[in-house]
Amino acid sequence: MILKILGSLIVLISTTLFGIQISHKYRTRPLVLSDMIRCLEYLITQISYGQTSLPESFDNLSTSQLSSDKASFIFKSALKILKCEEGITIGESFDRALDSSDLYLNKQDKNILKYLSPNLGNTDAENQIKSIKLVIQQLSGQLSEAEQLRQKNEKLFKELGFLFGLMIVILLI
Amino acid sequence: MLNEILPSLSLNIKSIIMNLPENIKYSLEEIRLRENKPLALTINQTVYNVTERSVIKPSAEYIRSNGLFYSVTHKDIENTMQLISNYSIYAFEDELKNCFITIKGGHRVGLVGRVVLENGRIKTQKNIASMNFRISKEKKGIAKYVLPYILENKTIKNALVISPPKCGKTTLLRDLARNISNMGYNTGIIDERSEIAGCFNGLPCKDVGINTDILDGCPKDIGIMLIIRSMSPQVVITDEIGRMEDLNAIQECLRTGTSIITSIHGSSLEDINERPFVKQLYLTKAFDVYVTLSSKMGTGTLEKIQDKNFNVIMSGPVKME
Repeated sequence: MILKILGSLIVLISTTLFGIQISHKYRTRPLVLSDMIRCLEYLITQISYGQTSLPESFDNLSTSQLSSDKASFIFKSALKILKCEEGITIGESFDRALDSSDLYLNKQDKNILKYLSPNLGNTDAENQIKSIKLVIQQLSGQLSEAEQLRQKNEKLFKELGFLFGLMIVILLI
Repeated sequence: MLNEILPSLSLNIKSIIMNLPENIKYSLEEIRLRENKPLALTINQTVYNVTERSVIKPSAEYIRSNGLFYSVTHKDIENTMQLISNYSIYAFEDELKNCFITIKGGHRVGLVGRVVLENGRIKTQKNIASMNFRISKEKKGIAKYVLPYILENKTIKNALVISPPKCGKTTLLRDLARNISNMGYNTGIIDERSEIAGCFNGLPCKDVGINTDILDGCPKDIGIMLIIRSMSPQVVITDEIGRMEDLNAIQECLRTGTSIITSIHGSSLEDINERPFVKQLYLTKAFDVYVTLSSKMGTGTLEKIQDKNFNVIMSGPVKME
């Protein structure tokens, strides 16, 4: 009897945790997206007013309290790759930082961000700002979509995990 | 000096340059990158191409050598552009318009590609295809060939250095500035292209003397009056005059009693005197001393020195070393 209770508890807990994990993904994505947008807006001001160089702006981004670590982490790791590897362009290092990090972003989000990389640092200020603005615009679309998904799924998966566990337990007993 | 340039070069080119024999490294004058063309080095005014293993051959033999030499790739140019602009070309829009960037150490990098116009004016450049790294040399002591003619009875005469490109004009001006400054004269340098003093973050990378103030990156016609008003130097030193606006500024400068030492592109006094700009200067007797340089005996050959009536008071050629 004790074994049965223990077993069903384990099943229940693990499915609930699984559900929570999925719902966590839905909750975090809009947060990261809005952080990312804020980072890009900051980049625009750095480029247009200060004419600050990109490595310096990346550094400022990762030290400022502007966004959570999750988004600014990308810029930090891009900077690290840039410093470690000779002969790499800043766009390539940004690409690689995107690929290597788990950001709670889906593939489409990352692809939008990758629009930036071929032009990054390679054109005049006007063009830089234009392409960053374009990316921000598209990310905003992704953000509202992610927000809808979150409202729909966050609670759902949390409960679903628990209910699924309950179902298994009932079936097994 | 080469060490200041190496960090700006793309990986392949950097390693080629680093592996050159020491004596060649020392006498290197230019490094030229042209997309899809062999890497070219200028040494003692002769152009050489170089193989991947850093073996150099005169460029005239290139055609016969069937592609043995290292060819500059698009990636090389792109990487080098990013490195010299610290990955931020947008911060160098004015420099792109003027076709050159000055990197740390006062070395000028020429850049040409496709010009983008807006309302008939250059807006920016794109598709940079050619780059030229000019390694600026510091030759301390060459001013001694010229200084006795410029400095007389403790007054500094107004001098014009006439020289074709690449004959050591800026190097001479720099050494004159250093010597005059170290003799205790307040010296003002208008360094429009950051070449004389090689300023980086406001501080000179070259030794231009202890009593020297530098107005960096300022157009000469505005800068000359600005520095006279603000720092009241006894002599103003500036490079490459040539526009009508400069003429007014020079005359204004002389009216205030400040001496001026400057340079102009040209092969001889008689040659440049054809230009209306210089004729005006001559008529007003703006300069007391004319110094002509050439490259007859290599970079930095002193051809002759003339006084205000064009009488030759020293004739060369003498190699300044």
